[in-house]
Amino acid sequence: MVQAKRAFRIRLQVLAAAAGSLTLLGAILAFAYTTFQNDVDEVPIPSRWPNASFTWVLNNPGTPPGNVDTTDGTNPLPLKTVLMNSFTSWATASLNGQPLTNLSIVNGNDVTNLPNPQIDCVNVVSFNDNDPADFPTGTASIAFTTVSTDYLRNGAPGTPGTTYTFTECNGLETITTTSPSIVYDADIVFNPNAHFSTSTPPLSDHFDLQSVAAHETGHALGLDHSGVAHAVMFPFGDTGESQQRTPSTDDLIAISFLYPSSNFASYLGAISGQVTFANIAGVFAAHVVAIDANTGNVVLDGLTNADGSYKLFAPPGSYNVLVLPLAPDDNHGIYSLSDFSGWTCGYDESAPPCCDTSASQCTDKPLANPTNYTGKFF
Amino acid sequence: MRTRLFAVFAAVLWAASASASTLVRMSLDQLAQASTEVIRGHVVSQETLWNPAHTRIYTYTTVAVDQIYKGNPASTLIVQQPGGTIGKVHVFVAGTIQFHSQAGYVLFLERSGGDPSKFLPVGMMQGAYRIYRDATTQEERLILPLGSLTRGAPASGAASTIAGPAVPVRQFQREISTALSRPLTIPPGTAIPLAIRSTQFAGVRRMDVQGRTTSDLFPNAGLVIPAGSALSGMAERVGDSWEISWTEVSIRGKQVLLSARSTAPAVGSLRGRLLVVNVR
Repeated sequence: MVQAKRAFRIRLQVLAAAAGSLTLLGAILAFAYTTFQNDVDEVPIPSRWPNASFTWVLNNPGTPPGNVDTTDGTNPLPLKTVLMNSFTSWATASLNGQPLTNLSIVNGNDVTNLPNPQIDCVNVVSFNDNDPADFPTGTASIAFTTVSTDYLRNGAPGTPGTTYTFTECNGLETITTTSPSIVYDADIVFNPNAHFSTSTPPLSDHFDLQSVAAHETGHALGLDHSGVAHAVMFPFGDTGESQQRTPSTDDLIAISFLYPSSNFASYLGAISGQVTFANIAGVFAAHVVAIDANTGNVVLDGLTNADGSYKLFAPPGSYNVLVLPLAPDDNHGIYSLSDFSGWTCGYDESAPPCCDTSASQCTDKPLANPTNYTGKFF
Repeated sequence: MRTRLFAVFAAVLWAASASASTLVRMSLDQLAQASTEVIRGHVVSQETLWNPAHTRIYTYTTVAVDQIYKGNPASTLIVQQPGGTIGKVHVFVAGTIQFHSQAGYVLFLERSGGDPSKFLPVGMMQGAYRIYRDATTQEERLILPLGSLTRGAPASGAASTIAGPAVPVRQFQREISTALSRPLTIPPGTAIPLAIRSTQFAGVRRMDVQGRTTSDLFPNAGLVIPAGSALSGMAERVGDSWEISWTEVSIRGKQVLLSARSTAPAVGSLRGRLLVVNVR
């Protein structure tokens, strides 16, 4: 990777990318990093756990779920250990040896037979959700997480350091914090019809529990899906795969963005710019992707703000920036990655890099107008 | 607590959740096969409600049915999804569909097991394709959801110049028809976990056996066998064992032949036994 004294060489800052009509109704949320955000006086504010502290419990720890295999394969781990590992992977996130995250995650007093998920200010991990509406048969959902949030309802956010008080769960909990948008309940449920493995590698016809748990705990901590396919927060998993156990750079930056350590601002730089198209001054919700200029691998992604601006925090290096369109339509309100058609390059080792295969290096070609690009995305 | 959202639909859509979280990628064949209903429709209204216990929030989207590709739905149907906003409570569930007011969709749905009057998207966001009209050509096209990343092989070469995320609706309809008419086959080597539900005397040392699959199976990119699918077979007593020949599985009402055998000790009742059936 080319070090550039934290000054990033951005070969192209603005690409033509039509995100459709900018007729937007109601509140607008624009994503920079894929976090759950609330609209505070028309300012999108990521929802964070108050005081960077999260406590979780396991439902029915004394009753091992029948769909989790903790005995077969190589070095299978106890279920609780796997869950602890998945949470720890976020709490101890570091990038290139730099600890960037200040986040406390604690396993509290586990519970028994607590209906889950429910909004009760208890963050429960459960394997016995038998509500047929949660996991209908054959519909491919391996696990999901409900994330309950609250935010400042009146007025603009105060200056940094301002404290806010929230009362949640019918008065059960009073929270004082410096974030005007908070997460106060998160529950993770695993599909009782899916089979999970705790061995390394996972059993070939089982889902890797630690990968799925890492993804779900990412949600519980406030992260939405990522469009980077090798990221933990990419929404898809498959049996026998354990790639999503370890947070990628995109994941690490996102979690550190929510819960930064003192290193965050000093170690990372920022790639910023504005996406324009023809006579549109700023394209809202274009998908901005930072690509390692040397390897062609996708490193980070995010969406542009309402004025077309974007800002991606990134470690020192040399990057190309690719902008891709989201769905062409008169979207009303929020855009998310579900509006994104996807592309196929740079995801992982098996995917081609985001560059023209005829080029000797990953330069220039991916940066052409994507509507004329003849490379790997579709 | 009840909040009617449609009056402020636009302001609420953003609040209606991000999307399930970890998903299995589904092909169009799998989506079509796993659905009880495949329709084209448009959004009429949306509301978000607490459950009776006041512990969870669901968003209900009413869709007027314009065209039916599979199933037999009424002229309107209600799609249920977890999450949404009521008052101060804003629940995100990553992977749910963000429906757009009045927008048209092609939807892959399953009737809810808990409430058959409601429908659940198959594969969460993978089961919703939003329709729009191209401003230049006036052609109807639809937007492939993020799940479309796995539809087909990565494009390459000159044919891959299509940067847009959409395909013509007519083309997609043809693809759905093809997917729905494609015969189903269970690939050899598929291991099917099941529980025996019932047995019936079928002669000396013989029994008809019925089982139900116990987990969702995705044997290949073209097939999904939902948990609860019914298998039929014949058990024959051989020595101290039951030798069971499985001959048919019902996948969403479609009968599919299979050839598989399993063995179970002839001790006690077969009912309730958990087996793994290996398809030959």
